[in-house]
Amino acid sequence: MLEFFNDHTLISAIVALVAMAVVFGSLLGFAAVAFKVEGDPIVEQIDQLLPQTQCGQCGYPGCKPYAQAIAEGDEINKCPPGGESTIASLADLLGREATPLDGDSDNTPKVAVIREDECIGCTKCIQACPVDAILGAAKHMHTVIADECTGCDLCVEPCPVDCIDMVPVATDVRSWHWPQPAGPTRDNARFSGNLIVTNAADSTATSAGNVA
Amino acid sequence: MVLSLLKSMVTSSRSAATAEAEHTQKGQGTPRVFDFHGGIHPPEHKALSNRAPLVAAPLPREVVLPLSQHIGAPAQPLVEIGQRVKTGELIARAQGMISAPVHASITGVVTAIEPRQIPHVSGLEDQCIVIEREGEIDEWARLEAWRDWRQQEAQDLIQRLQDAGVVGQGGAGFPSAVKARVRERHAIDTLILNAAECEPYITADDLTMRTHPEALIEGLEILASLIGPECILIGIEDNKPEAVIALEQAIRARRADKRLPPLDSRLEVVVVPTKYPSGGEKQLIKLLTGREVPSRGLPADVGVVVHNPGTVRAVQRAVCFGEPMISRVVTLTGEALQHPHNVEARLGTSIADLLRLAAPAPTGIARLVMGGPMMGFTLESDALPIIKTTNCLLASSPESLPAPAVEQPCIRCGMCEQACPAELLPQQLYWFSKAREFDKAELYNLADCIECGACSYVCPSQIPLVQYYRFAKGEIRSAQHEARKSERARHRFEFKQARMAREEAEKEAKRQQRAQAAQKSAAARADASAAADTTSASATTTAAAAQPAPATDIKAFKTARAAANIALKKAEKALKAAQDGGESSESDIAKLEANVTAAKTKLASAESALKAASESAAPAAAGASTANTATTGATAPAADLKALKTARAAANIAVKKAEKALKTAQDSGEGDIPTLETSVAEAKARLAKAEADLKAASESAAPAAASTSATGAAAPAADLKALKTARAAANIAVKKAEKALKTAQDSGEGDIPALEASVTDAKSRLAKAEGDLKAATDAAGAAQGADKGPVASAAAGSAQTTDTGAAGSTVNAAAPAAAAPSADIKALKTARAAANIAVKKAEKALARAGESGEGDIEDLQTLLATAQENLRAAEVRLNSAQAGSTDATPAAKGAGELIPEAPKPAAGSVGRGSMASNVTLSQAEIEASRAENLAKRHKQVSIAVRAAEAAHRKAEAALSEADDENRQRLATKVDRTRRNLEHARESLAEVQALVDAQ
Repeated sequence: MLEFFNDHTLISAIVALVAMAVVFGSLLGFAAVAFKVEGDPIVEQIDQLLPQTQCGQCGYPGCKPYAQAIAEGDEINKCPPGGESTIASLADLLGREATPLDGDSDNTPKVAVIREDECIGCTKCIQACPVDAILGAAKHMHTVIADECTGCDLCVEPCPVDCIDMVPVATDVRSWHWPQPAGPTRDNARFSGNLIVTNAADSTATSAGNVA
Repeated sequence: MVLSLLKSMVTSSRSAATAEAEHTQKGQGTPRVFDFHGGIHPPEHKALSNRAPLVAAPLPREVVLPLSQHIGAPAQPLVEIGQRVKTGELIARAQGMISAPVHASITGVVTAIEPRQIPHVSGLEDQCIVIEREGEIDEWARLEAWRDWRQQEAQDLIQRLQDAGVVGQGGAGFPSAVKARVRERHAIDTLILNAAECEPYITADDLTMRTHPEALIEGLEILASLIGPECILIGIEDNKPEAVIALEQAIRARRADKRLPPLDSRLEVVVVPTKYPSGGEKQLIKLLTGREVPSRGLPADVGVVVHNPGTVRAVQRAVCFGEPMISRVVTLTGEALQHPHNVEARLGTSIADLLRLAAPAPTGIARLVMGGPMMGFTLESDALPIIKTTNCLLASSPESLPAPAVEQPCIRCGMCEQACPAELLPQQLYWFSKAREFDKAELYNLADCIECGACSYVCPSQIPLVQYYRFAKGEIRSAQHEARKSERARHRFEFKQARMAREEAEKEAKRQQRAQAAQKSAAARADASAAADTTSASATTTAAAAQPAPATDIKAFKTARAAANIALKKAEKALKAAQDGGESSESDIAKLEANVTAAKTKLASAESALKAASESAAPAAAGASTANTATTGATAPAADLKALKTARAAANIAVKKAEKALKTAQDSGEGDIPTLETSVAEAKARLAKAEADLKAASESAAPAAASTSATGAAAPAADLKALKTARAAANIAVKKAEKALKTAQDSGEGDIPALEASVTDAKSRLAKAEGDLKAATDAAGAAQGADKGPVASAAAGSAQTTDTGAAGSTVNAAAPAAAAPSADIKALKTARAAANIAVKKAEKALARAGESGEGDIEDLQTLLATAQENLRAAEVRLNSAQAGSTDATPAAKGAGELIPEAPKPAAGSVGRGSMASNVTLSQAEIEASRAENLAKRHKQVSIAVRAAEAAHRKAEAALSEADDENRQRLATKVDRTRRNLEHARESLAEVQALVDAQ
């Protein structure tokens, strides 16, 4: 037997390769069955990247349906609240071309505010809100839970007395953060005073000395 | 195994380092000091302010106390405007786990609780409590003083720190009570007093140590009693020799004091070489213990807690004297001050007042910085209060702190890396932050940057590196916040979807339940009549009651029979057992016999009931199948056919069973063979009858099916729906295309012809979809008409269906009045509502167009007119349908029909009768219901007018009383109410005109 293989190297190579193919093939087959992934994980991944405003501006009733549609081949540029950054990350995930946004690119964060003395308590906005962020009962004043509001605009249209305003979210001391510095050779006056002592102070001291 | 080995190596090396440190400290008296990477040596300028003694600042006339002077949730105000408060009184309480209360720092009256500019790098406003001093008094509201704090429980001491609002004075403002609870989660072996004060210019801690060394030692003892460390180390830079001497003297005195218990742990002053930023928490830990705080970790992770001298003194005052944290030591320094020194100032004192104490130079202050030159920030104004974390006010002359030079491009010299005390790669972080590659910046441990500014200091290109890192950190933080928020939004959205689905299902279930209940009650009634007079019932129901003969009923009877049978068998068995046993008394046996008899009667009655029911059902089915093709055709009950088939199969089985039984009997030669033969014959006869029935039924069904297919009733509701969706999609496409075109036209850019082409294309598609839909609807209408119509129309076949189809919606509304089901009326109602909404929308659009003066008003008016026309048509249709249905009901009743609720089961002759009457009656009925509706509408509109009048009057009254502030808003409101009123009046006039016309 051994001699036979020694004499016929071609046959022994074929036998060895076939044996390996069988072993690895069965391994792969087993893995395919044992580690089968249920559902379509790409939809979840896409959904993770979408801003979850549930505004329906993409033409689908919520972010999850749009994620589903993207997974099935729809355009990735239909999400105005996400803006260019969402398109970029979707393009990154799906290996597609990042296309310019389809629609107005106004994605400043907003929050709905009900002018409460004008509210008639019709509950229409409550039904429209995709995230249950409006509180109220029939014929009682409604109000928006600002923390839960995604700024999707969907409550504005149904209001029969037009008492809902979309207000840009104000920056307060807690949400404020540093803006990006202007970069080299630009005016850095905005950051004056935050980096005061430098090694170069001696050389620039005379020129800056006139500021008083 | 490898892991555990590694772990043991790490721990042993750590303990070796600690042991070494301790050894050298103990052995030679001069403790060993480690070193940290990087660091810089900026000019110190400490001599400016550390030669004058610490003095108390005079009481301010007014204090402004921000509610958020610490890290964590802002405090919640407890006082009202106008309330008198004493010094040290609680005016805002902490809310949340990490928070601190705020106390009044002077005696006086609360004059405002409002957003004021606070000393924050953003220059934004935040909620503040403003207190104005009353006279010269300084009346205190202290907590209980615990001179003998050693007797107090640890829990009480921690609560005291919380109640006194003690927060870290070093810069971050972390609540000390939270830090004091560190033992709950970490084993702490070292408490460090961070007295390095490495930042240039600042001498607040230096002066605190020189002035109050005993208080600091006692404060450290209090904290040590809460944390339980093995040793307390005071880390101090070698540029503060007076403070070192003062502290060492205080320690010696404390050790010599025999009245107090001996110190629990080793207490030592460790002098470290001057190097910025040795006062950084992590850097000082490295210097004193040789331990490195892990990336993103806390000092507690390596068994260390660090406090600032100011904080320790506040702890001592809070515990021993019951004084809340209402004052702190502030360094007033800088070249623009003639008398720089340190003051103990009440929190909330205005910076301008404090600077006045230090005599600003007549040339003025070039720049005012809160904090030191390395990590502080420029203030835009001096009308700001000092807060719990304000350690220094630096008023600089133009020469000392020049404006930063213009940023130059990075030359990749690597000096920042040499200077970084956190051992990061500042240059890489700079590139990533600049390019907004925040994930990479995070990968390079941006979070471990302590923002000390050493890299910016050494940068030859004067790049404000720290600003880039702060920017990147802020972006990462807000991205995380967004991610959390969107995660929550997702959960809420999914929850709402699930809830709606559940509610829908519940509604559906309820609806079905109701339908079932209705069916059952109808069946019960039918059954009652059948039982009352079987023959007459069967006679009357022959033609009509094909459907009401309820399978469920028969089933119920069958169940009853089976139950009776079982009861009988049980009784018999019991009787037999009793007789066999012979033990039971005679009376018992008699009783059992009586039971058996009763069971038998029951069974017999059940069987008779069943028989009656099936008899009444059978002729009905037969009648339906043979006599009345229209009935079966119209209602074409596939269910009936099925039932007949089942009956045939059952009969077949019965025949087979009977035959088998006969055969067994013949084989065994036992049993009543003639009886069995008869039963076989009977079963066969029944089978034959069932087959005949079935045949007749399928024959009658065939033409109905033919007519159905001919009229296109096969176009099912599902198809219609699909077409409607297609139409809606086409509509949206048209709108989108139009919008794109408009945008293009507005901007004058883009390929307008192409867009126009696409609009036309979309429109044509829409038109096609609408045509499809219409054809389908017509076909369906025709099918309905043919279905529900009289025999004649069904029999006439396709020739007449075209006519019916042409009649279209009118047929839909008027013709099948008898069969017009409630579902139809509902559909019509929906249509009416939709039309109503369309009208409203059109009105709104018109109003908007009129207001703005834009848009094609004529177009909109035509649109509105069309919508109103549609609405009227829908109303007419609905009215006629309602009239038809109300008309059909009595007609059906008159025919002796048993109607559960809707006239749905009415069929055959009944249908014909009502059809005939409907044709003549409907017109009058329509008129009547229209008049009624009109009257109702008139009433509603007049109420609306009255309401609008009242609202308008109210708004006007409010306007006349309003002050200037509200005038604008109220004026718009009055405007709106007036418009509403006009609108209401117009509608009233319209309705009035209609009424008059009638």
